[in-house]
Amino acid sequence: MVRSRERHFWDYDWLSILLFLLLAGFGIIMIAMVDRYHFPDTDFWHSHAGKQSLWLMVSLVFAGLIALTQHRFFMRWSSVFYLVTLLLLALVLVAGHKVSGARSWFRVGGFGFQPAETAKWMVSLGLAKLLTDRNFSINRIVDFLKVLMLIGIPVGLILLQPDMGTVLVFVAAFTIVLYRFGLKAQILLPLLWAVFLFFLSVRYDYRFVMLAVGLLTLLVALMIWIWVGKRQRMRLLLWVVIAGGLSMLWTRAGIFGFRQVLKPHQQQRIEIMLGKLKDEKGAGYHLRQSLIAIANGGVEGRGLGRGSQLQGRFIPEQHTDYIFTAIAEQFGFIGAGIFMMLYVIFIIRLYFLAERQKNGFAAVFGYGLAAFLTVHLFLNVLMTMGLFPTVGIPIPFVSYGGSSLWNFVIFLFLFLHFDAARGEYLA
Amino acid sequence: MNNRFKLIVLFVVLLLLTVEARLAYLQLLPNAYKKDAVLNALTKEYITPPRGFIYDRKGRLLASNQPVYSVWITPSATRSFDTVRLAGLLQMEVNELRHKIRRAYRYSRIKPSMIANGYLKNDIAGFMALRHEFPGFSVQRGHMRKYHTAHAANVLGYLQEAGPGLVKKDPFYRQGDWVGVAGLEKYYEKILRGRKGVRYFERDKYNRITRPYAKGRRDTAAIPGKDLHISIDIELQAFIDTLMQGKHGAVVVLDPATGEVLALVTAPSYDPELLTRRDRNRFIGRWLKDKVNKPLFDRSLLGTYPPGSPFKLVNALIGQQTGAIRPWTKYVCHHGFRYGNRFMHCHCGRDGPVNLSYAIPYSCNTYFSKTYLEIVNSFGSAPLGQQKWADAVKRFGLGRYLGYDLPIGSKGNIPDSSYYHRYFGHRRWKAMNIISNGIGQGQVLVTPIQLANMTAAIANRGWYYTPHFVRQIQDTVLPARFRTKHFTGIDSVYFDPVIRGMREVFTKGTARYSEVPGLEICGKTGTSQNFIRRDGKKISLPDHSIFVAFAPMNHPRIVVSVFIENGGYGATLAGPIATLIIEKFLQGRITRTDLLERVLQADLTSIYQMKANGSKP
Repeated sequence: MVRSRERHFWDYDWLSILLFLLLAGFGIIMIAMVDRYHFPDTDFWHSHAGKQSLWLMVSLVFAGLIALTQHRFFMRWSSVFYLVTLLLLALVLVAGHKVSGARSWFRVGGFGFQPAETAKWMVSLGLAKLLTDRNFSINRIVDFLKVLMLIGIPVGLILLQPDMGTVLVFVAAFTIVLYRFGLKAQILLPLLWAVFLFFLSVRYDYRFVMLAVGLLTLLVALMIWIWVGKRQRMRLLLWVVIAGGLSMLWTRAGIFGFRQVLKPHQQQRIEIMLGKLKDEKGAGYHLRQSLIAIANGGVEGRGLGRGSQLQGRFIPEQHTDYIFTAIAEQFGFIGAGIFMMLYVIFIIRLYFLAERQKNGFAAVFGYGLAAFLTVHLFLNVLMTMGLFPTVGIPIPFVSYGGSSLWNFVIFLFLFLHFDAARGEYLA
Repeated sequence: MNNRFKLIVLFVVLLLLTVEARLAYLQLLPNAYKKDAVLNALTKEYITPPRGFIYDRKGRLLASNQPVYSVWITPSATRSFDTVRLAGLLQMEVNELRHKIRRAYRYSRIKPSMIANGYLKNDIAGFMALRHEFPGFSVQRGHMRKYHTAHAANVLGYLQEAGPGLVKKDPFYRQGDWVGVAGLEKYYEKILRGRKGVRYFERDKYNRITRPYAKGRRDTAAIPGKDLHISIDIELQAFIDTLMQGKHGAVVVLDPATGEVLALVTAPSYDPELLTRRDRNRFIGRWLKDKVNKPLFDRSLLGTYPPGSPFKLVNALIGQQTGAIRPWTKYVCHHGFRYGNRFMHCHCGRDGPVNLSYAIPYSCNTYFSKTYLEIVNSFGSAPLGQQKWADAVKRFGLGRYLGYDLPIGSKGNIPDSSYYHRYFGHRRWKAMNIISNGIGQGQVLVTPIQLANMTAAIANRGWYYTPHFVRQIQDTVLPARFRTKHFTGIDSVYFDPVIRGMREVFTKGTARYSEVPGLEICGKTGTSQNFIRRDGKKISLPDHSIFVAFAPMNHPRIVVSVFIENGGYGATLAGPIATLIIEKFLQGRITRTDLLERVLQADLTSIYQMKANGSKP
């Protein structure tokens, strides 16, 4: 690697920074609107909007610090970062604060600190290191298992908190990253099939699903027997039968896991989303209120700071989980559409930047960033619209929350730093 | 690898499109959530308008409204409190209070439920003073009926709170609303109740009202109920009530020229004010159990009695119309007459030929029985004749519902052929079997208002207006059905002998002791036999005393029918009462004070008691 030229600050991708500032600023305004009705009595610096502004400024300081550091530092010490995150994730299980049944936070002084947030970029660092090591081939069993472990251990620790939502985010995001970096479809598709079977068995009677799968297997076997030549027939048949059998086993195991591992209210949430349970007052209440508020937005929205659902404080957690609902109610179809498009442009830009990295490490890391943002954004938005179960996933940069904001800012600027330095890598 | 990048980007775009599609569904297309957005944040408050007033024909106020208070609980807003103390303040039983509170919790923790209603200002003052000690409880003001008379309860009716069945069925009514369940209050409920107004308020998730919605532009004003002006003369009604003290029966007073009901009295009755109190159910319960007096039973509309001799007038008219009799037709009466192997007694006092002008004032049973026979047999066959006769009688408004504006009534009974086919068996009867119909006994049954209406038809010489109580509803016109003449189908010329006969009832006939000098009253006495069956035996009771009358003879202005249960001869009680009423109405005062005194003193309570106890008086 040859240093080709000095790095200048205008090498940073200004589009991304601009979009980031836009989104973060817009987020603060939205939080302020929500504050108006939910928390009218606090002064600015104590209000959510005020705090978010403060945190934004602090995080920009972090960003600045990162810019001043050598990018290679992060690459070299990535394993250390990874181990640190493992430690923190383990530590929080014992020393963390219990918040609504989960140990996810450290309280340090007056601040809260969520190691799961930090894990997002630290694990990405670790993954980037692993994937770009010499002699690594993802489709080799040994190496694949290494990847599984690298991601699996932190995910497992998060699962123990328990924080199902974040687990889901990790799994989804890294699926995208691994897909991009060579994971064979043969591995990906069975994974998706497994997820599909799982949801089916929750929504409908799992025995029925098992029966359906079994019948399907028989049907496919029959078709193979009729149409496939004798030579390949047996082999294919074997695979199909194995696949069918495993599917059925998985279905049974999946339901078992669902009932035993997940807490009742988590099971409820999923069941409601899938339409199995109908509930207005309890877990379904937030969703219903959210849908009503979004519908209330209409084409052009109710106006900034307006909207009967917003003002009536019908939706809880509006400054975090349901911030999109507030956007939809105030700005309507047009406004929400613009917001989504801006965010998607931002995300695609990051994918693009990651793609153009010559340095494999930076590429993996960039994909990690873009994937996490993708998953966060769409899980949150789909949840508010009733297309996904309720998970406590915020929209990065926009939702209220210091922990999320800092860590994503670090994640972003770290990558932008790598990107700015890409000129150093030609091969 | 590039392809995978493209695929990922494509995937992201697909997700974006999914989001947009869902947004479009929620925000652009009509769906359930859109409506709910408005409803979710809105709450309605209904404004109940005051109920229409009721005035009598002279403009005297009979029914108005008074403020009434109800107590509501919003469970989520309550703190612990002393239920015993609260029950005391609210004048409720502790258990009842607890039960109502529990029910409120079950209904909704955040929405208010009513736990008690019907408090007058004095009743609720105690609670109001201390209501700050009971957070979560509120008092709402509404309206309740106030009756300004102790009479005409059967005409006015009364109100009840709308029950859960009605609330579910009719969206107008909500828990705690008042609805008329009897009398004019019920019949004209839709007119008297007006229309509720609605005020919309925005609310927050705690169901607290934040501010009026759309600055009140979508609110609708309450439309007050329309006032009702009725035909009753409350002074006359009150006078009749006093005349009827100590007696059971009914009096109906009509204006034949218009069909308006001047008075409708059932005795015994009750004070309508008693059913506006909080403890009204106590009274209703007591009165329903009172099988002797039955104050809630309106005898004038529902009581069916054999009409007795007044019915002869109808036969006289039908007989002339069908040609069965002429004014010169004579029948021989031997203080009665023989038919088959039975003998019908007659008290007309003659042993010899009787014509129409004698038969009416002296009420000859022979004459009218034979007239009836003649009518029935003059059509060739008894069934045909009976049918023709029944149809003719029904044209006088007997044997069917008159169609007046009160919600209850009885058809009475005018037996026709099919009735007798069922009663006796097909073709197993003939006129002889049912001869008592001729004299108003037999199977004939009428209600006092039907008899009054019949008399009005006679007084008008051949037609009547459907009896009605409404004179005017605020500014609307009287319904057409009350302005339509119903013709009896009897030529007016045939009425002259009958009416003259009715005049002679007073000058020389059975009611001569009730004559009022100066007034040309026409009438007919009636003495109706009645029986009860006890242990399979037919027991005879004292006759009902019946009287019908109208005055003056030409251009009559008042028609009266009087029924006194077990009152003896028609001339004993019913006649005097009828003439006192006419005297009071036409002349404004009573001159025959001793007669008045006698009537007031007449007390038949002991007879009624014995009747109810089942012992033979």
